[in-house]
Amino acid sequence: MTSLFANLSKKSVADFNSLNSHEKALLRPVFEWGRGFYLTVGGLAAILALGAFAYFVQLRNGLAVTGMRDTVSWGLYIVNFVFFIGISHVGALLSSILRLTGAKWRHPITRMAEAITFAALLFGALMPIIDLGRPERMLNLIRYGRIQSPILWDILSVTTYLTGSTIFLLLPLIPDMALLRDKFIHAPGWRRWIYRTLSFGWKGTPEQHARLDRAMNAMAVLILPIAVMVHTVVSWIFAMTLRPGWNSTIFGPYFVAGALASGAASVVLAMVVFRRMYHLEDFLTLRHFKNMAALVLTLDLVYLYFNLAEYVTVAYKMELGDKAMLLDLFNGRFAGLFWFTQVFGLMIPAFLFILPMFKPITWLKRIRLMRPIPLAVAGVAALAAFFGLSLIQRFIGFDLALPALIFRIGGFALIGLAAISLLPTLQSRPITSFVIASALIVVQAWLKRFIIVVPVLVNPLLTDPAGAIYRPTWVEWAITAGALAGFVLVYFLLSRMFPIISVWETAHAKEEELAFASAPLLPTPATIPSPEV
Amino acid sequence: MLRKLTVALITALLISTFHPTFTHAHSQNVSISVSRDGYDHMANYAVEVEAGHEVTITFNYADEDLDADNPHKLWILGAGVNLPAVEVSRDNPTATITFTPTKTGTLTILCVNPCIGMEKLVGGTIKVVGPKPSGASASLALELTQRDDESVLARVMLKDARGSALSDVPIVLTMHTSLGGELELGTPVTVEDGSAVFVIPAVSGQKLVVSALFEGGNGLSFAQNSGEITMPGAPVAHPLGALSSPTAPPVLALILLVVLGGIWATYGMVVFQVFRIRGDEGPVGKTTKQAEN
Amino acid sequence: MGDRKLNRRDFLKLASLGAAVIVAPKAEAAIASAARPLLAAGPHPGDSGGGNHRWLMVIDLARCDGCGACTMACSAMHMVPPGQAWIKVYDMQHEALPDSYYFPRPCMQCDNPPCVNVCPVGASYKRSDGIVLIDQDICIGCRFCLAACPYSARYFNWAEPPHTEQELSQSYSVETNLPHRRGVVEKCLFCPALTSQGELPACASACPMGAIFFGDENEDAVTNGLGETLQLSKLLHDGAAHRHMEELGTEPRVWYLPPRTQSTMQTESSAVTVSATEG
Repeated sequence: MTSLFANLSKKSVADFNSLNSHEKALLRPVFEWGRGFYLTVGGLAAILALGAFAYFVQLRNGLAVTGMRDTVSWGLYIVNFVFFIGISHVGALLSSILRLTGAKWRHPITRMAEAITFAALLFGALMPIIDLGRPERMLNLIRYGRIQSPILWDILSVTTYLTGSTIFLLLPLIPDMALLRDKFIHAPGWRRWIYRTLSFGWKGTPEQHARLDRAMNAMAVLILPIAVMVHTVVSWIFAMTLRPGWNSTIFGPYFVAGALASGAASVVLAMVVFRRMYHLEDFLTLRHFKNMAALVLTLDLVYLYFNLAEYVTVAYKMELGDKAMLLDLFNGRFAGLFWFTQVFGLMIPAFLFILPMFKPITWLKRIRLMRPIPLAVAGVAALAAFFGLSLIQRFIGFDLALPALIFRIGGFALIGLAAISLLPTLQSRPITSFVIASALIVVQAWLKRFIIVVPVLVNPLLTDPAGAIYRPTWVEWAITAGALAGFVLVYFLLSRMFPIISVWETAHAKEEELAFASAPLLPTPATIPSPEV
Repeated sequence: MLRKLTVALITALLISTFHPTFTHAHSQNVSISVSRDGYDHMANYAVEVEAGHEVTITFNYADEDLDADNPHKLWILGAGVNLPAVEVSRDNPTATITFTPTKTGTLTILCVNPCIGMEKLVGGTIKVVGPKPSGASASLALELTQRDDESVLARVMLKDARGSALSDVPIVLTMHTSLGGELELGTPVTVEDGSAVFVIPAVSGQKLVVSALFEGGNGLSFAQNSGEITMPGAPVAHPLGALSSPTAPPVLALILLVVLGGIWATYGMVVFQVFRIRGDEGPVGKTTKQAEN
Repeated sequence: MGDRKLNRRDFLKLASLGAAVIVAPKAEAAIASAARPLLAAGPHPGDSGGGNHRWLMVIDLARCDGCGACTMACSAMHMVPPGQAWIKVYDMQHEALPDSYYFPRPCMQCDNPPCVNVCPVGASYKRSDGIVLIDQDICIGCRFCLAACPYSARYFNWAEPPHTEQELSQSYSVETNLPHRRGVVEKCLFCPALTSQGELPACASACPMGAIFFGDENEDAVTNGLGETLQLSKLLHDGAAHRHMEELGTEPRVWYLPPRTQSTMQTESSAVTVSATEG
């Protein structure tokens, strides 16, 4: 125990010990900033610094250091922009919708979600600035801004959303800040100042609660249409152009659905990470994961539906303008990415979410061959053989195509079987299943944004006779990695400055859990369960 | 007998010199050598011919000193002529083309074969000028007046040297464009009193420069005149769509104002609530009140 | 409790008043910016005004032989950075026929320009003479106009363009886009520096086939580099002229006369034929 508090003064340890058990469980990360903390911050900061250095290189030499050229004039930066703004919709979803529908289970999750929104918006808003050819002229957007341009709508709505989500993050933080202000008296000066300022003189009186409640209700109602407006406007950056593939009427709801799905999935990932890292198993229970899973599943299916609507209607007609791009997506240069996002990014996660609902597939375990590790090893070996064969094909006279094909198909089949053989395990571990599904959805979200931006630019209406390709350079990858690291860093720091689970809102979580567990299915007025302490 | 012959001869000579019919029959022959250095070894080359008379152009191949054959395919175009291209090469060193230019202007000779020196063979021009005065002079007066908001009336008066009107004569009207081109507007014919009228479309603020030309004939030389008129009024404003204009469309501004204004007003209200929290006096100590749903 | 309720109502009134106070300057600024005439269009360096012209271009695809002289002349005249072709000659393949024809594509100077519509700072703007110009002092390099242009007619300076002394000595003008700068957008401008002096644009002058006609819609006349001046309305009507992808609603100002495929270009009387006569 003592080693964990190695960096805290004795007085701070005393502060910590004056808390009750509930508060202790949730405030431990705020008090102890140990070696792990500094290592994590250091590592993330290093990647962020690499990204900053890459941007400096770009400022020095111009955007020619990226892989973008006149045909593919938007690339990874815009992909990141849409990705981050998309992820940021989770705050609106959880805090707003769940609050308005009265879902009690949301309490441990809302602050995590709102923090994601805040951090994601910061880096999302940064991305178009990094993409500018003349960032020093940014103020021209205010001086000469034309409100007929979707970019102006973007700026207005993203700044509005950022302000709103900051307010929405800080509001329910007030009582917890007051708690830290009152209890963590021996915190370093700057932290004490933060706690004092952000608690706004909170004393916990009924009037203050009433005010806070009113304010939060107002924000909850407001933040949802703002969130919808933001991503609709972001989608109109593309949909207001005449390019086939972007010139679609459903881009608004299509993007919003994708944003909600990816945001909700990222919350599941945050949940599992914090649960493990901060030992929050009591607060983030199976019930929370199941509810989140239901939410993410619904949003995933809605997004899959929108994908279907978008691609099937266009593919049926094969209009000349769309044809080249669609063939590129279904069968061409982007086929791998595209089918990955559809199958592994949307369909398989849906299956993984409903997997625990099936009857246990124990019969699979009875098949001797279905052991995940041997199958996986065999699959990887087969693929390695295929890779090796295609390398040495150049030096060998006779045709190795058939054996290479066998190894390739065989390798993928074996890996597929390995995955299937994992199903019973996943079934018995629903949280793992949900986490894998959510991770796939988040990865899909980034790849899907790439699929939306790049193939359309590569296939313009007047085909480039030189043929267009897009190969992102190290600068773009470094800046992408830096932005992701920065996002995680900001999020991580937020989780250490403030309790990542709201202390005051979950004060009676345990009672709620028990009440929920013991409540009869159809409670009659006479049998409203009384909370057991 | 000899005297009768001499008189007849002199009469014939005089008639052939002065009778209009004979004077029209003179043809013009131009001989041009074509080589990789240009026409007659010049990059910018010009020759002048008269309109209304037959022209025969003979091209001569002048690239014999080259080892390989350097064929040139020469095309004359412009001023309304419609001619095929002719080829000169080592095997066909001479080619002729005969035509009668009817309009004044500039013809261009260019080589349309990818040959050595192709860029030098683009600069050949044949200026077609009005027929030289070969008879008594006529006088042409041109008057331009504004007819209405969108057109100008050109009135031409053609008289011969004695002042009597020339009727049933075509007058060629051309407009000089702002890019140095000459657009043929039309060919009105004069009526009994020697006048011809033509309506030229114009827009307000436009400056028109118009020339009228009488090409001569029947013992009269050509006559031409030109005039200018500037249409009154400001140049026509071409309205831009609301999305393309530099100023914000009021409806859009209003919508944004209402939506964003409402949102930020609500933010203001919320922030106001928060600051009131700070101002609220209440019992000191922790609250036991549960968080509301 | 009643007292409290009244206070609450009062405070709500105060709150809305306070909010109005917060919003009012923002509102005022918004209205002012909407009312400020031609803020972004306000004096663009070197813009001599359109005069009373409405420029447009007619390209006779039957005459174009794909030589690329237009591109070379334009690139030389404007010292266009490498990799850019402000007028670009495409080899257009028919969808179902094995034939192809050459297609020079300048900027269409659209009357409903998508590039102007989406520019967030008004750097791209349309002048009264129909030309879409770019004020590179204002351009922030967001490249939304590149995404919006369906004709792929715009180019971006990804790196510092190579300079010559002659280029650097010019003072910046929106009519020349010289000297070129990194991080901003540029494109074909219909050579306003030339047309204001009564000269044809570089591409029209340079075309050896006289395929590029240029002129003033108000004068109803177009001229090509070979000195042919034709009546515009008649040419468009008789030649069955069309505009490229006009169904997109961009209202382009470049008309095209239909092409003839390479094989048929050799036959007609007004085209090139072989005839040689003995002298």
